[in-house]
Amino acid sequence: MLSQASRKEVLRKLEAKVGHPVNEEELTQETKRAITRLTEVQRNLFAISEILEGEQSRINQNALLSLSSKLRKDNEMERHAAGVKDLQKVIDDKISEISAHILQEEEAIRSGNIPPRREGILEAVELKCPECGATLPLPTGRFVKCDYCKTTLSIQDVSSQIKDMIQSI
Amino acid sequence: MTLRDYLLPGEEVKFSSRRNVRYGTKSYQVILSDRRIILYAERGALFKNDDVVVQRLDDLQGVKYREEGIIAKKGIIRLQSLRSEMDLSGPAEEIKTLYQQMMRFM
Repeated sequence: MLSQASRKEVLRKLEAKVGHPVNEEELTQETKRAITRLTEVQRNLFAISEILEGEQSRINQNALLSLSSKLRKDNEMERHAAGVKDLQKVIDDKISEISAHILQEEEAIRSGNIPPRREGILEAVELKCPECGATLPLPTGRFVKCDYCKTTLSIQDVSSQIKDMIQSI
Repeated sequence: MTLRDYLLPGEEVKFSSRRNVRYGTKSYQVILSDRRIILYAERGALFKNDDVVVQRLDDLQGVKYREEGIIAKKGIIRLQSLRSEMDLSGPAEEIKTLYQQMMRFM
């Protein structure tokens, strides 16, 4: 469900950039793989946004909590939301890059040439726990826990790694 | 009967809630498999009866998470499928974990 929604969203943005519907069958393997990996990250970002909105809903519903949050200048939620927005921007930039590449591929096919190769890394980059170096799952909330050393990391702690991951696609 | 009797051949349990969550007026343990969300409760003091509610993950159209409460945080997951809507509620941390686990299979 969420995977489909994420793929639709990525394709919708790609099509908006390319200016016409994108037929995935006509794309090169590298581009298809890049879209799939971008979809995975987008999917997790959707999940994190939903959790943040859900947590914020409690404060928004209640005038007392809302006021106390304002008085305490409790901006932790805002920082997390800004972090997610920042990651979404990195995804959008990657979508722009992929759409430019799709246009190049289409142009090459039209003129009877071989489509240019993408320069993305073939192996998927994984998140690593800064404490023990074990592979971390992509976060689906504000925090992610290392299955190996049990360290709990906030999305801010791994956001630079996620950015690198998106940029390497 | 045990939960095992309600699993389909090859169905794998991925997560089960530590605490019960509420669905409607009753409380259940939530079991998340690779295919379904299973709400399971054993009822009756002397004569045990199983109370099982099942929702296929493939049928889900949307999952929303929200929190309520001033002091104690209550988490609510709304599962929307073509035919029905289910609200599962309970302690926010438990429900949030359930939501995050569900996201891994959707």
